[in-house]
Amino acid sequence: MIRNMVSSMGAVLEEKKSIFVDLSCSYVPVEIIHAAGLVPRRLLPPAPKETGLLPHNSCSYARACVEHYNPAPVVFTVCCDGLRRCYDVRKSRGDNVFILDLPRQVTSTCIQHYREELLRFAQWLAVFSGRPVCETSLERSMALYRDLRLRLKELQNAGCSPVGFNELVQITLASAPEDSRLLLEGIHKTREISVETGSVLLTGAILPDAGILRVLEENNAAAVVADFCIGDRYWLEIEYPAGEDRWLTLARAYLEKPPCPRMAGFSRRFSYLRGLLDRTGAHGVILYGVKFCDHSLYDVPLWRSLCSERGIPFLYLEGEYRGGIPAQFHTRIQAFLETI
Amino acid sequence: MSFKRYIGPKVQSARWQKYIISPYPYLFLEKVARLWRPGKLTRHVRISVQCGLRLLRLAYGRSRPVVWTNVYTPPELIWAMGGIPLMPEVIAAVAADLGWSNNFLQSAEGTWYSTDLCSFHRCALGMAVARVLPRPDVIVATSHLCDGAVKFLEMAGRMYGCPYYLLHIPYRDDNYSRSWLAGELAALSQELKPLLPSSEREISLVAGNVNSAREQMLAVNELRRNVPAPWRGDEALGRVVMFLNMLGARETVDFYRTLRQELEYRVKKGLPVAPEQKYRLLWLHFKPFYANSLMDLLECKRGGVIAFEEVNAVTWDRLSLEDWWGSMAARILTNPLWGPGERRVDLAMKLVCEYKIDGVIHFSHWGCRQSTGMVSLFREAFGREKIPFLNLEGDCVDPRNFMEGQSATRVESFLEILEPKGV
Ligand code: SF4
Ligand code: SF4
Repeated sequence: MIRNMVSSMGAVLEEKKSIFVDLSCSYVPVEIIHAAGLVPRRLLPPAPKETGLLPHNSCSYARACVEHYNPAPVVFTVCCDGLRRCYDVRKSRGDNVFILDLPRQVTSTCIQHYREELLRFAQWLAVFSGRPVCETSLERSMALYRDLRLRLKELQNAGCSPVGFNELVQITLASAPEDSRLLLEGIHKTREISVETGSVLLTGAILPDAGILRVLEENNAAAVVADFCIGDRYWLEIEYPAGEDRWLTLARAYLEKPPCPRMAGFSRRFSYLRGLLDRTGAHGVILYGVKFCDHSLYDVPLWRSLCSERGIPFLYLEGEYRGGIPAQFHTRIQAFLETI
Repeated sequence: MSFKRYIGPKVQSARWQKYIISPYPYLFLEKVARLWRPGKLTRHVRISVQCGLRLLRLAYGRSRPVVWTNVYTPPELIWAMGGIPLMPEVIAAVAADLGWSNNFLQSAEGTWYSTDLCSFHRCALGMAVARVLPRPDVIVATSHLCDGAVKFLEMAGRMYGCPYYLLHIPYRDDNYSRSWLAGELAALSQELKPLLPSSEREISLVAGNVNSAREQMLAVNELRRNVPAPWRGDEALGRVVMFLNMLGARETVDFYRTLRQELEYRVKKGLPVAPEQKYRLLWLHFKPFYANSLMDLLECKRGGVIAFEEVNAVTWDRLSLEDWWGSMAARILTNPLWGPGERRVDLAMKLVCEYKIDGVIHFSHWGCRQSTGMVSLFREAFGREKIPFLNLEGDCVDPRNFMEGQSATRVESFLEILEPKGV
């Protein structure tokens, strides 16, 4: 059912001929893009081919982004070395690209710095949208996204299956928030949500291949959380205190959101990860990284120590972005699930 | 048998590791080095060896707080605070040079650090696991250059249970970024004050040393424009530790002044540093630091001399006592290896002209995504200007990742296509 709705939504969007702005990171405030009269869309290109634009020891997501020939403007962050180089190569090719300087820490000065970056970002958007972002439009967009996030959260809390929820997230990542809200309202009414059991915490930077959710399902397990930047970490509730400069609110809200593997501060990340385990009651953790992603690689010892402290099993899988699920993953996942 | 070969296998035993972490062997070796009478043109080598030994003696002796930082964090920042800057990445290169890296790399891999990670960090992590590095009192990381360094230093902070500070380095170099970063640097120094109480006098001494060393470095770089080249790139790459880790210390001034005098002498007397210099090369990124025959093959047997290396370019201005933090921020932000990739390409292009370069070699160190990620940009830029370019894959620290025979063949074929311009 969800899948049918998703495909009909896609057709609607095509018809509308919206101006998309692609973004490569969940720390890019979509609200600003929307307030500029544009449609934010997560950059999710097809799997990469070997073009040599980035070396073979760059992660396959960065390689896919560099090879993607799409006229939509793209906003990168200084997330990782791979994506910084992706920005450089695309810029040298003459693509309309922007890079946001994203601090790793949450301090008052870093928040201030990010605020300045967001203002600069809005100026860049205004150049081709022809619509400067004003406080009122920003306020409106923020309210819309807050509503959308709440609806998603409700659906998840109501027991939406990880596969179904992931499909919903994917469509919201690729469409205008007004359309996504319509879609979510429909689902809320029909309540065609399957409830899964199982308790694996799936985590990483970007989700390499959503096929893993099905593999878990086929093995009578489920990812209670998909802690990825195109999964649960993308759609989190953000508080917008009244009476504050909206740019500052956004800068703070985004920097304070649950930290991805790239962010600094072990204590902050540890407490977030412990909280995830407590909240979900997951019985095992699968760290699913993209090969050559340094952020994920440095997470391996971290998760190992956390899981051994808790006495729960841990599995590290290294995949390729949109590279499918290799046969050996099935065996490794089955063996892992047996230990739970 | 050389000292390095003799000591290499021994250091792996716990008995020898006990000596490594004591300051006394370094004190003894420093005294021995004083007795060494180098030739007229190699006095700079003795200074750099003494300097390295002093750094290790100070760090293991812990007479002052030891501050771990990453490469390209200005070491003078720490010297001026009265601390001892120690860059584990530099120590990893030294370990590779001494033939010790394999063991430490394996220790890191045994504790779940993947072989896909940069071997500078992996080797240093292995050394941290083996507890052979001088214990840090505090760790200060800067976010520019690469992701690995930030993560690795944070991991190390956790291993040693010491405070870890991360300094965010803005991506753009403009007035706003400079003043923001200057504020961050000043705030950091305030925060570190209880441990590192810097004084006006110390800052003034260190600033003086940096500025004097800078003048000498500029003079050295000017002399290196000479044809034939007066200094070998292999050695120049081996001595980068002097400005990466030691800038701000008095010895750095002596080192560059002595080097300048020696190069002046070579140039005046027409003494080439390598026998036959048919091709002048520009080297991008670092070199393999472990024993290998590639650099000799290139510079001594096949007529290619590394006339200059990007890492030795002086791209920053004098430090100012009146605006210490501002000038320090500017020094960090003018680093062409940070920020938009075109800055690095522009620097390489400029060096090609200044040093009459016939061909460029980029050493693609396995695990370094920021540098290897620029190869296609270099290829395109050099291709446009018809400058021959070779991307040489290998590893600076992990000899297991280096196909020596294959690299030699590639270098030889590359040299065959070069047409000497400058000679
Ligand atoms: S890992 Fe973090 S910084 Fe990188 S793209 Fe994902 S959310 Fe952004
Ligand atoms: S998966 Fe890792 S390396 Fe790849 S783009 Fe994301 S953060 Fe960067």
